[in-house]
Amino acid sequence: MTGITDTDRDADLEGSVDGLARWRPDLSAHVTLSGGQRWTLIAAGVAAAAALFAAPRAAVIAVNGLLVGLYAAAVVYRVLLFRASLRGGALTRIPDDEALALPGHQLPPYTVLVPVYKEPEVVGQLLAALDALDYPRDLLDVRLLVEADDAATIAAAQAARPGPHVTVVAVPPAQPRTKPKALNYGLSAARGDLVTIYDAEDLPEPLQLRRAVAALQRLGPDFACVQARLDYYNPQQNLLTRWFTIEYGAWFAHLLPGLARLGAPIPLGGTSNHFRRDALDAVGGWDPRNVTEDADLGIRLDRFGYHVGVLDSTTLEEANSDAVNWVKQRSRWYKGYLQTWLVHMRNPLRTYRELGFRGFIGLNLFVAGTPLLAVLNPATWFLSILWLVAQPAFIEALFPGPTYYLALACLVLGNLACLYLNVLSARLNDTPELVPAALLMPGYWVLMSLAAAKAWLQLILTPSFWEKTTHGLSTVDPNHHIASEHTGATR
Amino acid sequence: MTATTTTAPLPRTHRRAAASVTAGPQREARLLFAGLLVVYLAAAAALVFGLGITLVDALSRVGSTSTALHSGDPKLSAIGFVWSPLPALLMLPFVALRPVAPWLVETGFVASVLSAVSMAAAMAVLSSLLHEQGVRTGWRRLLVACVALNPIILFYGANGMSEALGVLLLLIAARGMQRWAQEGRSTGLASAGFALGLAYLTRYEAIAGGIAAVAIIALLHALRGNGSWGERRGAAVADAILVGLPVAAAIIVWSLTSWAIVGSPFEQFSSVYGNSANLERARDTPAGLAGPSASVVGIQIASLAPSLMLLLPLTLAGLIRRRERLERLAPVAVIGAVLTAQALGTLLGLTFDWLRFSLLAIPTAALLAGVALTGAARPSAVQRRPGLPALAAVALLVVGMFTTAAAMSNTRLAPEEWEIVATILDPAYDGVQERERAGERALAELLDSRNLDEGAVLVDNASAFGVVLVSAAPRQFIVTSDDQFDAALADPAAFGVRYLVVPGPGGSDAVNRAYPSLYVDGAGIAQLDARVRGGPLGAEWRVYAVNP
Repeated sequence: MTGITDTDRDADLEGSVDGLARWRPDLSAHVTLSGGQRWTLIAAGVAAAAALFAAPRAAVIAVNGLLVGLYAAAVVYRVLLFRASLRGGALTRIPDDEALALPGHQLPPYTVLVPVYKEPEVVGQLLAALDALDYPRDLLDVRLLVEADDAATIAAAQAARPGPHVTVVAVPPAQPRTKPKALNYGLSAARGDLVTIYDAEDLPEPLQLRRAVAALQRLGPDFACVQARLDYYNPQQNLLTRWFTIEYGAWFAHLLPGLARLGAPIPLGGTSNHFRRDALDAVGGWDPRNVTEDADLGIRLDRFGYHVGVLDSTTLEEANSDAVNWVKQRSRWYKGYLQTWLVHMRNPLRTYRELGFRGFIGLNLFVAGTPLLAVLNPATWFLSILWLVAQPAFIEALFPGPTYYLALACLVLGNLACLYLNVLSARLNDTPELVPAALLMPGYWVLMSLAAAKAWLQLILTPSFWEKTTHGLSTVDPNHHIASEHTGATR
Repeated sequence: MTATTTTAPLPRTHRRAAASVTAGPQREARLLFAGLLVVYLAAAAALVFGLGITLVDALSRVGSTSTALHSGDPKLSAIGFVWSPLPALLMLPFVALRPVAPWLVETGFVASVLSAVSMAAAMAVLSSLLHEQGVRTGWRRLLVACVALNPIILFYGANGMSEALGVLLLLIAARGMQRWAQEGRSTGLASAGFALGLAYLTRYEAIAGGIAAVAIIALLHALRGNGSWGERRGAAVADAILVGLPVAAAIIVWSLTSWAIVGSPFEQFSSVYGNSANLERARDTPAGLAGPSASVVGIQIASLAPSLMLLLPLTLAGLIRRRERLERLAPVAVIGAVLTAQALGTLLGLTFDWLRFSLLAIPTAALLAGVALTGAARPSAVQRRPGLPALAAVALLVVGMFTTAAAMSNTRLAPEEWEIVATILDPAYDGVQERERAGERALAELLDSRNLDEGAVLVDNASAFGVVLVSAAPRQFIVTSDDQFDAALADPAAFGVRYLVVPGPGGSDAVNRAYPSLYVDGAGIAQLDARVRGGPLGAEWRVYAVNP
């Protein structure tokens, strides 16, 4: 029976909040724009104003042409990623027997960080899921990270009577109240050689920790992290969960392995990333001010010369089944991607040297490209419909010859290509029942554009504001998924 | 949930191991492409520059592509919506080179380059298809040679028509279907779908291939699928969507674009220049066609691919005896469906009975011969010697090269080709194509010599494309795709039009339709200025000077 360690002398609150900002301020999102970026923005604004004054038509056409070009590049890159993943080799598979055969002395101490915030109702299920993990208890260090003033969750955790390997860590209240800050705090007193994260509603596959150990052994010390696949246990709950499942399926089966294949940095998923502790410390841990600290960490690892692998082991999560909640979650992700891009583009030359050409392209076309596409696509649709219906003169002026044809190609071919890739992904992931929903994905894109608009707005107004996603909306009972449902890497 | 590229309906025991794509066959395919490209280009150059022959359909495509770029009102929609757009779109960047290499465009040679590249690539795809089917190297090379050097394949590789591109895309689709049916690769369905979609944009009858692909998917899942009926249906629907989506997208996008720009979605049928209208006109002329008959179509197919007569009943018999053969016929079914559609179209009077509609019989026969040669469905270490029927089929493929040559010289069987053959055999022969090209050149020279302003000559591009193409000053013409065409046709004098040019009385020509008696007496608005021999259908070109 553990107590609650609220004044753990090993834990470092100050470091959790300001460590990265003090050590490498250029890598922290404590400001959204660096000084250089601010000046660049002002200069660009002045230049734009001058151009609009001197040659308005040419200026507008140039900007429009640039946007269309970026759109086209982002779409083409996505297609290339997909194709690269089909060539295979980027997914690390550890068969069941290999995972089980790892002898005790080869298993390192493992820290599992589980941030929980105001979720007393899921604590019981969470502890059961963690209990299903196949790993020697004396080497397992589970740390439930709860905010010290979240009495309900702490009480629920105590009531569930967790085993001795579970520590409930009360994170002292401090701004920013974010998951990465809690993670840093939990990490600072952790004892494991390997570290991973799970969310409160996660259901990891029982052999995942063992597979991660084997994978990191196989891949070598250059690999700081392996990212397991995320999937949903409530895919068929409604249309939105179907779409989300298809998207996640494409993300983890095709886009991330594609990024790995093309040598681009991998934006990590929120959970089930398995790190080497020393690598994590070397790059400065998580950035508490970035709302997608996982994506940021993935880029930072790459800049420090580490690699990230993709592990063929699945953690089941709850797909957001409510549209409003989904838009909030997605807008946070897009905002985070933009924050991440801004942080790593503070010194583009340095980033280019550290990431290499392919990595730099990936950072721009994928990390920045995703929220950009989400906001440009609806604009293109809108303009096209407006053109078809009313043919206003300003559109004809905005899209001279080549721009017009490129924009048309983006609209038609780009959308068709993305739609098709989702269909293909659903089929390749052996989920043919989701294919009809994949055909309706343009509806999903509408939601994405709403989220993107919100994201851009929040980026300007409240960059570090973390909108918490409501969980527990699923009508599917996750409990029967624990331990029994998981299939291993081999089938 | 695992990511996999194999989601075939076949149980694992029946699946063939994926044909290893070793360096050898890939290199061979590349060499084959390069070698055949040289052969087809040489033949093309001989036709175009040696004999001065360019087929009118090919020339017209180059003409409309050129109009899209070089006319007085350049725009992409000038390519036209009657015929399928892909060949024109592919030629666009090369036609743009007209100012630096006019010989490429004015002779229509750019179309020949496209058809040569397409046919050579098609033969390389055929070779890899046969390799993946399991045909041994020696037999495979023989089969490919019989197809690649078949006179009609050679001709259509060289003559700039869109058949070559169609064959290439259909073979790519067939190969994709084979990879799915035999090796279980879903990505094969994706490539088949895209190839079929592009094939539709090359030749409309490729839609039959799409329908056949969906039918094969349904059939194979029904007969061989894993799991319950519900699961099989789900998998079949998903697979059908993978193939069908690109095809459906091609059809919808193309017809919507056509509808948005010219007001009707299927110009092939509704336009005055379209196929249906051409058929009507042909039936009305005194020299009208004898009408399609089953025997003519049958003989056409039989003379191009005599082995089909043997292979088809053989294959059916084999199917009944050993149902494992079903997957191995997936590629054949795709191409065979398009061939059947073309034959049916001819028989039903929906189209003319050109010999080229039987072209697909040759690769179909080669694929069927491949199936016959590979014997047992189960991969075995030692391949049995091919049986007598397979040997006979291959022999007939060789014979087919000669029967094809004979068919191509027959006026009834090859209404389009026999003149070309006659000219090849006797260059002094004065063929229609030669006369027409010469007439267009003469007319263009005449007009060019007058140094006219922009928009001084009004013509219908559908008849006068050859003139516009060869002219050194294409902007002197107002053509059908120009925005001001209709207004200028209604009141030529007001628009500064000095000359109206018509190719012969009546027909689909827009100028003739607007002024039915113009050709005969100037319709009261113009005076006869010049006559040039060598117009379409044996008539002469007449240039009428518009009354001021």
